[in-house]
Amino acid sequence: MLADPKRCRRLERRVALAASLLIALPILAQYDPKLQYQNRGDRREGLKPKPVSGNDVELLSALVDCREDAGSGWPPALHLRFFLPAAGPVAITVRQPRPKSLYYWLDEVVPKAPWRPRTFNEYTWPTETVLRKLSGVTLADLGAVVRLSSSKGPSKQERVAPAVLFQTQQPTAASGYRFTFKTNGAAYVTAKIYRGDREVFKRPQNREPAGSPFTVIWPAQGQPDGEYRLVLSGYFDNNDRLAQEVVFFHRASWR
Amino acid sequence: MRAGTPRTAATMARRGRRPWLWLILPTLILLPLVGLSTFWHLPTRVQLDLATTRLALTLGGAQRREILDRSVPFSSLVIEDCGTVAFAAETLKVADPQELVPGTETQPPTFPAAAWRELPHTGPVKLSCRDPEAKLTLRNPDPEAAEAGTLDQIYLEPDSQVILEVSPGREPAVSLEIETPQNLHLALDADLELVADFVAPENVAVPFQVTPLTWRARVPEAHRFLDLTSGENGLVLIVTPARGKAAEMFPEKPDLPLASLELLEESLRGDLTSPLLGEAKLSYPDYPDIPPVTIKADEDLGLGGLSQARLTHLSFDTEKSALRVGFDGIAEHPTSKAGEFVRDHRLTLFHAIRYSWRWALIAAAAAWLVTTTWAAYEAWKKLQE
Repeated sequence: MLADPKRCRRLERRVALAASLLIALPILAQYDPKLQYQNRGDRREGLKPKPVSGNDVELLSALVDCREDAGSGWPPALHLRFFLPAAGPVAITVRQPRPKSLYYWLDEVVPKAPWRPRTFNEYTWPTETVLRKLSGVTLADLGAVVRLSSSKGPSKQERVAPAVLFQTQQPTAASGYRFTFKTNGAAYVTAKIYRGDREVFKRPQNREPAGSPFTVIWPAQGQPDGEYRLVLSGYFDNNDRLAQEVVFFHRASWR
Repeated sequence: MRAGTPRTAATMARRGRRPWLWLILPTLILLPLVGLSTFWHLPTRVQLDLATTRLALTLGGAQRREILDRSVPFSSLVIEDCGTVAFAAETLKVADPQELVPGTETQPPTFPAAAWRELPHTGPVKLSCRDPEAKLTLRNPDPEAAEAGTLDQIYLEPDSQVILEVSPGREPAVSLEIETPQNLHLALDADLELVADFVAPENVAVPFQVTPLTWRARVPEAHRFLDLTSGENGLVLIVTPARGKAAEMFPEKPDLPLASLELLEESLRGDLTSPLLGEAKLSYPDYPDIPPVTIKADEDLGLGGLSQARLTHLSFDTEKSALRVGFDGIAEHPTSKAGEFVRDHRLTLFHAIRYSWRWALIAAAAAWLVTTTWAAYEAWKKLQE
């Protein structure tokens, strides 16, 4: 029956129509395109695919250890506060240190006024744009790095300003710090913090699986204000040496 | 009609041109159709055979399914995003972190016998992972032991995502990020070592405040299990298969229905990169005569708009630190990208006609019908004359 020219033409028309419709169908995205990482005026913010590390070891977050009880919902705005010890470039990154398939990322912040040295600086951004629309992401899932350099990417030697992420309760003191890292290969890692050449803290050597974030918490009570060095040392499974240094300024009072 | 008049001459000329018109008419119709058919893309059933370091998939279908084999023996298991952990212990010890003898390139870190402190406890040991940084590692205290325990069945809910990623190292592991919350019942060996990072014991007083802490437990023969509940958003398991048992990690034929399959990663600079290892092969099972397409390791592979898609093969190649993947399904947008050059691997209507036996049969039948009808018509005309 298909040899009937009229039927053949009808079949061809149907096949063509079906093919055109299928090609025209958009690919369904997991999230709204509005949530994807893009320019938001004074910052770049949104969701990215899960990253792969190109470095041996990467600093994912450097926070003051004073998380407020965030509750379940997001407030209208989120605040990031840090002490800038000296004039110089500042590169802010807010991200999920333990990302899923897509993960939150904010960087390339342009402050309304230049960052002020030797005092506290704050950046505030609305949660309505992206954060409130993400399911399963809370304030406790976010990390931040304030790099005191023009480079937003990681390096072997970092100079950072530990930051606080908060909703409403501004911190009054920095009683400790949380530094989160990730290695790109299984490695034995020791973490030490120095003031000058004096060791003030040591995290025992531990085996860290590749790609799994690990956190160094330093309880800083009683430590004088000043510059400190967090030094990671160790070796990967293939016996390659691992080394990372993070210099930061500890200021106990945040009033 | 009389011969020799102008009207008759015009009619004769028209009749003289008619066979030529009939001769070129099929070409005039078919040529544009053939041209057009090379642009008409069709949803295409493809099969993929590839090796990758990362694979993100969303389970399709309406039933919950398992991705791992029924009982996977492991030599080490790292648990992130755990909720609570409970296990029975005849004896329980914790090592003084200050007495750790750091490892070297040739010797792993160890604790001397004097570093271990006995921890009194009653009932099962309960640990809580309230801290978002909490991480627990289970392994056998004997580094030479091949096995530390066996995983429970891990179910995935439909429409939930799981990300499988190779965690390279001397003993490669596979990381599984599972969205579906889990309640697992892990079988243990008699001796268990736990490395607890930001994990708080609920009913045991620990004399050290440093983290991570290394614990050792002797598990009673009557209850060699560890009960694990995940956080409400699932958990991450980094599974190092027991030595020589990597082949038992995934079922031989998973036949897992898929709603999506993602083979992309992002570099630190923000570029999308391919996790493929070596060349991937893309073939068209409905058209076996079409040669398979080779996709190079540095090409980004995308499979948009999946239907009737299944994971046909999944295995862990510890030699190459790779996941070997087999895929079969209809993709509306099978594409690969090398630099700025995008290749569209959809088949066109032309391929469907050119390589399909059905269409070949229809074309042969049509050709037979046209030629025999034409011949019959010519014969009938001769008979009329």
